[in-house]
Amino acid sequence: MKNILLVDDEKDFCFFVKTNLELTNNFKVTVCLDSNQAIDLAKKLKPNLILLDILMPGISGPDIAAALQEDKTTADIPIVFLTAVITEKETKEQNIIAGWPFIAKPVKIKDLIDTINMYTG
Amino acid sequence: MNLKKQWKIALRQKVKTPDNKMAEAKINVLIIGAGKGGAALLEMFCNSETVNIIGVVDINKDAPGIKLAKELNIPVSGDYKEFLNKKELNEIINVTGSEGIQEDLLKHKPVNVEVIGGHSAKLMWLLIEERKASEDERKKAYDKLKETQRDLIQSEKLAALGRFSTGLAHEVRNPLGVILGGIEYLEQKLPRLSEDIKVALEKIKEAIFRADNILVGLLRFSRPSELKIEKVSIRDLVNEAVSFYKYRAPLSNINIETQFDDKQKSVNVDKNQMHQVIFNILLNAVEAMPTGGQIKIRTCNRIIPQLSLKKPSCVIEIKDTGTGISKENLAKMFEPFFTTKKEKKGTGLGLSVAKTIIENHKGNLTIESELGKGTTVNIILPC
Repeated sequence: MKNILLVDDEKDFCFFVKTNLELTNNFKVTVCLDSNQAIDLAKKLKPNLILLDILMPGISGPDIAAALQEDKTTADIPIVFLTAVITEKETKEQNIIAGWPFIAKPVKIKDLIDTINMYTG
Repeated sequence: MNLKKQWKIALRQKVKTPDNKMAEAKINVLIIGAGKGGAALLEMFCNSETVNIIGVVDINKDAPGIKLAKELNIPVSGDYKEFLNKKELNEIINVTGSEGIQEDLLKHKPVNVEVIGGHSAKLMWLLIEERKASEDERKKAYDKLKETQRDLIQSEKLAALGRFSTGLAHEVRNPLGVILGGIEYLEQKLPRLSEDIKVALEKIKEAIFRADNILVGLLRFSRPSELKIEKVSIRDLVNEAVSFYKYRAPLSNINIETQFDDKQKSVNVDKNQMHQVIFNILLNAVEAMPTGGQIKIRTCNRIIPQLSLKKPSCVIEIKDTGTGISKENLAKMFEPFFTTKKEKKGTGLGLSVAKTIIENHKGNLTIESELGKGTTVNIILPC
């Protein structure tokens, strides 16, 4: 069972990502709708992977990622950005931007699972 | 009377009209000498609100001023004497530089008529020439300024569109993600779905990705990525783009024929973006031939008259035998979101994106078409 932390302010989107991932019985997803709590939650949970939105009220996704990378206890947690402001083609052509992989919304659950497995081994 | 004073009179003098009222009447001028100086004066005065040229005189019938006067329907003559008794005559400007003519004019002119001649006339047209030159420079600077302003507005518009489309993508793709997540949830929770429900769910998914495609096109259109220019063989460029249709075209009963100009070697372009352009144009061509047809791709170097460039441009011509485009639609083909494709197949962004890419390469994209006969798209690039 892989523990996933999903940080996104879109409540309904989080609901279906969590539900669909957990339906496979391979994932346990914790949703964080308030980006200001994401860093503390990541330190506490030490998830296998963090799915992180970019544009959110409060701390932005890249700022959370930078803070987690600076902290020794969380630096090794893989982060995947899940964002609506980038094209699928861009993610395929150069799916690592500034060191982090990206997935474009809307994402098929199969593609999401493949990406999570790729970065969690 | 010095030149300055004469000039002042010529431009500001108010002439009494026959009913003896002061009026903003024009000064009637006779120009003698239609060489460079006379022609310059005529050119300057022909649209003047204060000066009216009543005649141009020169013994040389082919003098530039005589030709210009004829074009402007101004009376011309080889002998100034026939104008001297004209009642309306106020001023004579003698640009010939001939002292003999000047003396003769002063002797025979009517009492109220002024004569500007000799050095004064020469100085006058030199001043005009100088003014014309500085006006040309000013015009050039103004045109340059307008061009820069247009570019700035264009880039500002694009930047605004970029911000808008990023915001729009964020707001719309999140609910699209919710809908897709919801459909996938239903598919998993209800494994024994009846066929009609499966079809319905598939259609909802298709609609999600169609809406997403529009947003992707909008994002690409509004923030075209930076060009990665490299020297590319035109033959390879076209063949690679055509290879995407290698399997699809025969299935649609479409034959793609290529013809290359051996003199044409390479072109400096962003290869991936050019593939996208050719791909988009070929897609339109294929979809314009539902029952099959032919696509001819021809490349050559030729001078494009509309570009007013002396050197030839590199042209990739893509011609289909499809349904063609009506005149009314032809004018809208490059507008974002304009599509003639039925069954909601098109996003209406393919050609807009193609045009933006070609213009970023300092090139041009043109379309000629006739209903029922087919369409020709020309990709024009600097050689």
